[in-house]
Amino acid sequence: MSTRIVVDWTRCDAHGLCAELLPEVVELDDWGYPVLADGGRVADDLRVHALHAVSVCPQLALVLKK
Amino acid sequence: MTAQAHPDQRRLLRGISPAQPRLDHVAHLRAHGPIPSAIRAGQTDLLDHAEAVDLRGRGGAAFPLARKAKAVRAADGKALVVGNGSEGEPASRKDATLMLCAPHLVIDGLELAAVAVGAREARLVVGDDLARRSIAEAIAERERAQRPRVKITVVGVADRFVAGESSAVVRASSGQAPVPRFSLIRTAEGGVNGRPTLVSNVETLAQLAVLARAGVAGYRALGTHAEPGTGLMTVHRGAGAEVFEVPLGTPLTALLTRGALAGSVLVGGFHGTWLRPGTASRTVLSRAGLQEVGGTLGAGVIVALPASACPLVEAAPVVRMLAAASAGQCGPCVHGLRAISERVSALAEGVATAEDLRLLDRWATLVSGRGACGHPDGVVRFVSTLLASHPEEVAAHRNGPCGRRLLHLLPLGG
Amino acid sequence: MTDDPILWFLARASGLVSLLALTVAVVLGIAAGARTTFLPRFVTQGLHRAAALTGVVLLLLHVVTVVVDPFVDVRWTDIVIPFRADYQPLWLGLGALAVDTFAIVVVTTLVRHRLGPQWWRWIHRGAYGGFALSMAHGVGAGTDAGEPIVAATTAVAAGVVVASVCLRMWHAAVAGRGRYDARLRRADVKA
Repeated sequence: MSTRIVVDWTRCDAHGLCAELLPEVVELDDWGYPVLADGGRVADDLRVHALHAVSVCPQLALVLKK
Repeated sequence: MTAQAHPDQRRLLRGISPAQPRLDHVAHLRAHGPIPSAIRAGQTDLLDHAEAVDLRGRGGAAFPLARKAKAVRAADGKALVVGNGSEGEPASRKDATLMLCAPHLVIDGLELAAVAVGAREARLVVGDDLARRSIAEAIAERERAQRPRVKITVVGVADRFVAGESSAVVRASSGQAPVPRFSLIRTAEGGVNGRPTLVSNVETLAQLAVLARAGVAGYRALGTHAEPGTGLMTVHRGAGAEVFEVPLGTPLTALLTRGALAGSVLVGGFHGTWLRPGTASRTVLSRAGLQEVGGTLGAGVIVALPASACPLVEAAPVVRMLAAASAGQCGPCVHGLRAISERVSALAEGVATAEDLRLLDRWATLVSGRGACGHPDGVVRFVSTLLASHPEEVAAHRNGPCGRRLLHLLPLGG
Repeated sequence: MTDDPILWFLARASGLVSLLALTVAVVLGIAAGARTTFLPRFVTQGLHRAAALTGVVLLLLHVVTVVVDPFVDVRWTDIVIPFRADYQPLWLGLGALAVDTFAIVVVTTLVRHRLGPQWWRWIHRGAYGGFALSMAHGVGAGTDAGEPIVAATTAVAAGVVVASVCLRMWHAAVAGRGRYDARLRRADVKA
């Protein structure tokens, strides 16, 4: 089962908590916005961290999708 | 604003002449004939016809219409059709021309699409004021004759670039701010108010109306085997814009004389591809043809610069305008396009450094695909192909300004 | 029923400590909004949630012990319906309003993904109101409010929150978010 993390760009405001919690998948670009590795694919062992990142985003800009 | 093509290759623009620039309902029926009763009665599935001729969207994305429409028909809920006549691309005039000159063909297409997906309601989002009045008048004309099968609402919208994006059009049709929105659900399944929505460019709808009358074999009489049919092209070659209807597969040289091909050519508008003169003269106007030269047909906008113009100097203000045309919702677009436009301007002024070029390269990959719509991707294509197809100009500009004046040949819109 | 001072001490203590925890929560909430970097951002947010949770749990303990304690006549309904208590209706009423406010803030935070960021953020600002109401309740109804150490602590807590708010507002005005405001408005849709 492949899970992906998806960014709602209309909400993202470069707070950067996702990059702190899921550095394996999320890096920040030159302006602080998330760059997703491998299309945002989240390995099973990282799922709990991805869920944490989704919960913690101040702009509710992240979604975890199957 | 003239509309020309070889007489018997005109379908969308059939019957239009300087003496009769706009077709009213009577003239429309005289030029095109009635819609076959089998289609009207729903005995023949028009979407099967559309599939048979691989009718693609004419708004720029070239998505197969039948696939989209069948998805809408299959989805749960009260379907509706939204015609996209917003034409936010400043260099494009084809949609406004079509709605101004042949409004009844567009309305035919809208009604046919609605009936095909099982919708009783349709909306038309229009950017150009004159075009909107033309459409409104045509609808009123029909309502006077008989009760319409499909209720059509016309919504005017500011012709901002991103307002023409599919999800922005869906929002505009409900009176919301015409900016792209984020959704995990496809518009076909959940668009306006969560209803299955078919969004289609007005030219695509007009093509559907032509297909209904011509049938599959008749429609295939023009165009190529893989891409049958015609397409509307807005051509800028010096003074003003002209709209042409050409069969797909027509070489670019049919629209641009040798003189016009001396300079650089932009195909696909401001989200499109720059071509070198040599490439332009062997380019064919079709999806496959443009793919061969590394580009895309987009909404059929063609701009030819004279050899005396500097493409970098002409393009720099366009990139600034494109950065400002962002809806302002997504960080990578807002920041990335602004940064890109600053470096492109520096290059055009002859003050760019090697670092600037490296950054332009970096930002091209960084900005694409990270936004709610395709605007940043399109701008990146415009800038990347500009630099890639003019390596000598880029190298020359690294040593200082080229000295050529800005001739304002790329239309920025009103 | 024995006159058990333990419950009364518990009621007053939990009220005071709850207020202190909520003070910390408010200050950390302001720090998170200001995107401070003295700690990783998820830590600042995590501490904010922890302090808020502590404050709310202690608040529950406070209201339960006040009702259960026979020393004062307060009913269960007086916790959420203001100004109807027999004992100090005004000051207790402010406390009830604080409870109502925090309840809304907590519930909306639990369902924030359904609300969307704009609605959630607006309602969350109500926490400032809840904090002010709690302060007023403590000063008016608190039996220890006259004690110098309690008064001093309360004053410091209020001062810290006010200072944080002022700092935040100044920071926002000076920093100028630089957010490109080209958003298309409804006015761009002509009917």
